[in-house]
Amino acid sequence: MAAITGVISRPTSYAGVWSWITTVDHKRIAVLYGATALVFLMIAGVEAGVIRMQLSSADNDLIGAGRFNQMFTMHATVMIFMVIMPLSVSFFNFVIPLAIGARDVAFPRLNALSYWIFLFGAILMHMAFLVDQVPDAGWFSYANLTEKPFSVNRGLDYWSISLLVLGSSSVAGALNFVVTIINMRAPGMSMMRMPVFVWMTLITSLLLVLAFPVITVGLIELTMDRNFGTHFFIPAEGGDPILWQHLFWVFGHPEVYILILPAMGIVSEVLPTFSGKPLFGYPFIVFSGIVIGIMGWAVWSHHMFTVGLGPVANSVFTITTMLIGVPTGIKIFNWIGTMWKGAVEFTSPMLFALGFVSLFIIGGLSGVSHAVSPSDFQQQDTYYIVAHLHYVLFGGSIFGAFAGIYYWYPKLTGRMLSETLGKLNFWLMFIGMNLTFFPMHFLGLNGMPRRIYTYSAEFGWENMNQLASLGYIVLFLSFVVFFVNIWQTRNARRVSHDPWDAPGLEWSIASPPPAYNFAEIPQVEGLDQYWIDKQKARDAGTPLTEPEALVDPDSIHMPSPSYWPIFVAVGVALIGGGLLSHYAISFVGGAITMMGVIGWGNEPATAPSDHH
Amino acid sequence: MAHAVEPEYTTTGLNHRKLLMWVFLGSDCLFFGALIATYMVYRGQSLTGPYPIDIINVPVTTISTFVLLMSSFAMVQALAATHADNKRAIVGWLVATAVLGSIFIGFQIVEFNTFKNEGLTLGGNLFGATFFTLTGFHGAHVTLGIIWLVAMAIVANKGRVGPNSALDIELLGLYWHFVDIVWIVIFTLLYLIAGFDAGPAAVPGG
Amino acid sequence: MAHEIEHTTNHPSFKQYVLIAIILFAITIVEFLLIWGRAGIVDYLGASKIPLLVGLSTVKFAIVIMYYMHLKFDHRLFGTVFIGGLALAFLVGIALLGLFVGFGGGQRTYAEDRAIPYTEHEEHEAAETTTPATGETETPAATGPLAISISAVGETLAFDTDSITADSGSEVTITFNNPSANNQHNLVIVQEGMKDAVAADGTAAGPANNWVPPGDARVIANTILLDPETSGEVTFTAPASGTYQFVCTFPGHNFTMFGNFIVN
Repeated sequence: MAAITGVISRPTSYAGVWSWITTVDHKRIAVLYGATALVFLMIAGVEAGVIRMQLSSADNDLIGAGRFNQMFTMHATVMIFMVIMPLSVSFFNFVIPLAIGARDVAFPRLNALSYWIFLFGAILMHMAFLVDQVPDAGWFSYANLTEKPFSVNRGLDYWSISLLVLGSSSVAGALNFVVTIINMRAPGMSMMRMPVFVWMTLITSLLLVLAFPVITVGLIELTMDRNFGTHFFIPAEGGDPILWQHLFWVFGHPEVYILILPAMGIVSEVLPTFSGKPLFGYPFIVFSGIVIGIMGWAVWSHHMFTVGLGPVANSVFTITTMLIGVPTGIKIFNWIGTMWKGAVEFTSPMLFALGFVSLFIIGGLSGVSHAVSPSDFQQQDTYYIVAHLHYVLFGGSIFGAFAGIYYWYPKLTGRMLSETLGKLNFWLMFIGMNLTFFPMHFLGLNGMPRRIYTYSAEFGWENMNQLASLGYIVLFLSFVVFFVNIWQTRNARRVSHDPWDAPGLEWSIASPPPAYNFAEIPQVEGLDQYWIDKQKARDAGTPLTEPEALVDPDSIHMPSPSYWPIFVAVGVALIGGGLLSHYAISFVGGAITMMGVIGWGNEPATAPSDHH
Repeated sequence: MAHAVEPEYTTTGLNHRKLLMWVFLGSDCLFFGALIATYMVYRGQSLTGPYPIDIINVPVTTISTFVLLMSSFAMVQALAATHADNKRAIVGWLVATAVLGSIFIGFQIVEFNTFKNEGLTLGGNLFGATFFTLTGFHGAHVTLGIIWLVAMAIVANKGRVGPNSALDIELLGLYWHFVDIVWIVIFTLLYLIAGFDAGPAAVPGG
Repeated sequence: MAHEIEHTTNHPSFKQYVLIAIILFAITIVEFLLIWGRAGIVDYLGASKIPLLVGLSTVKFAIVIMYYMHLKFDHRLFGTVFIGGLALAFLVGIALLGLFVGFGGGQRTYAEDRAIPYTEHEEHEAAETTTPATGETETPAATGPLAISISAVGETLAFDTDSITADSGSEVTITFNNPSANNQHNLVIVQEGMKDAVAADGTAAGPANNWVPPGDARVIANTILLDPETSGEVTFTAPASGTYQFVCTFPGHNFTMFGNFIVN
């Protein structure tokens, strides 16, 4: 084994492209995830644009039905799995070790592996465009439309196999964060002294490891139906397409909480900072998050009210779905309580956080109307649902992510995003979002179904659709402003380590943080430890104006970079790619994966006490 | 594998990798749970035979179940030998575990072949699809375990496994015992209980 | 603070491990005897064998987890994360089963109404080959043969004509051309008014039967299922005069892909 691992010695440098390829530093991995997610945001945004342009007028023929199906399938799949989830993981990566006073995550190489598998899985999915066999059965790919007689080309196989690869990335990452949060907190940081973002990450990660196996089974069964002759979802042979729906939504519902809980965590960090007050009702917010995580498993069939499960099942799921609105409501009241009588500063991150709260309330209200199964019978598969899901996912997750980007950008880079451009970004996004999606409530109630590529003028839907398409243009502009904002920070002035006077431990160190994060692992005495430290220092007459002093990086041992994560990721990607082309490639991929795992396990440390 | 370890600081005092393995096993419960649920939902749904009672052989599978249970015993002994720093015993018990696991896989292969010859195929009916998928993935888990066991036996034979690296054997053991308890569930549900499921007595409609 | 706990917690001794192995062995034997016909116990048990077997297996499960996996002696946290996953898997599985088997969903009756008994493998094969699903050829009748050409229209779900005619008793050969790049089609001649009912039964019959219910008396003749950009033909004797229908029975196509077959 030394022969394999000794061929190329373990990397040591932190500069250049190779250092990024072999990095195991959580802060760099965060940048990788974030940058990749933003690229896919643009791709999925273009897909949304095509949809909106096609629907902007009746009987439009910008694109045909087949291409339209591909657009909405890819828009949703990319946004969910390649934008929102990696953006969340980007925040987990950057913030969690800093927030808990740790120097890295529990398994740095596993962390890197998660990123590379994600990147290769996302590329694998998009290779479907190269062969023009793009998935087109919706992001939920209901059986048995997805079976071979009806979906003849390989699009659905690209979808299934790529999701299997992406799923393994998510599970690996989530396992890492569960162990990191439970096991690497600074001394004195009990569970109830963790920042809310850390709590939400823990719950999200537990949901990830528990939910993905279920869709893995569904995807395996679908792949077997399509390629190995089974009939899991084929009615003529006794199979039941409804089983696919159940397996999908048992995963799918916890998935939407996976999408929103990190954003709720971010908002719970931003609101106290810019209200100058601690978070109101911390234990309630924490327990609400836990309750949402648990109850999220009991509501999945509310996505299937119109399937014909019967009145008993529909009633049970109506009740559980109505109940799950309660913990979210508790959070909202506590957020409002946080701002109440606080010294509120309307900075860009604060605006996005407030945008989150208001838009999520609207999305939640339409959600409550879906919960009641009789009314859902009218709303299901109409634009009313499209409105709901975009208010919670765009107004919720994306606004939350943007709050986080504006909030933590100065910590990551040492420079602040422009406040002027930030406010412009926010208002364009807020107005554009409402302009695009609010009319959809009316469209849905007026009968416009989802997933239709065109409609006749006599339905009277054209005006609302034009409004929505106009809203898209405003949204497009908001993203242009955002990217301009990022770009112009190259030359922006540097800011201090703590520009917001924030409570979290991450603000006590230099911006950007040194590779080792903390020179001395902090001792934690309570919630909002940095506020405690700053207050004590003020009381003693020696205010804290400087970050923790830097020390010689060589004096603190950090995990060395490694090329095994990307090596193993290539193997995993080839296993997936081979299933889509020639099985021989999968065997090669399997061999590479196995070699990689062995090399990983036997990798020499570059420093004597390295044991990761 | 792990080099000489100084105990690292952890919040709970528990080892990172052990915690990782337990969380992973919890996650794997959902994987097998979904496969078992598919089997149970489709019980009695096959439109054509063979049905379980026609081909399931409980006595033979009881023997292979014993074999797997005994392999868990061997695994536990391998861990005890590691704590006792007895290199020959470590290698011996690891190899014994791998051999017993391979015998189990051998039984599975013979069983799959027999069933195939009697007309049970992946595409033939739902019983075939669910049975082969569930037991196939279990077998794949066992096979990965055997590869891991062989790798550890090789490392142990070089004298690189001892009380300081007992965790590596313990992690392998946790995985192996998990695979065993999943089989306990599969054996009970698919063989002892559903193994007697029969098809319809008469042609539909008369 | 908390450094890694040295592994000094209790271990069962070798003898205890052997005892555990024997117990697992014994429970398995008991389970086997409970279901083994020749032991005779199963006849007394009836349905109660299920909770007994589940109970015994749960005991085995617990013993392996507690002792072999050492959970009894280890920190609670390990048990919590594992049992959490296990309990979730169990509850979701039960809920799924309930949704399928109970609550008036009516999921099970399809198979119950249609399942066929198992026959030994070779007999089964023999039975299958005697039922052809393709169009039938009959000896030409008195009047001269008639050739009809019909086609699907591009990618749409429609035939290029909505009416074809023949004389009763004549030999009719219909050549059906499928020019579509994406869609499969067939052409089925059925009794008047039966197109949707036959199509529904055709869906149940599946693609192996060309989406046509085999041996159905309402079907006069049919082509096989044509792949994109292929043609096929069927030859048959025109039945007694009257109005019939032709239809494509690929699932969902029957609503727009049909026409009248008028026999004089």
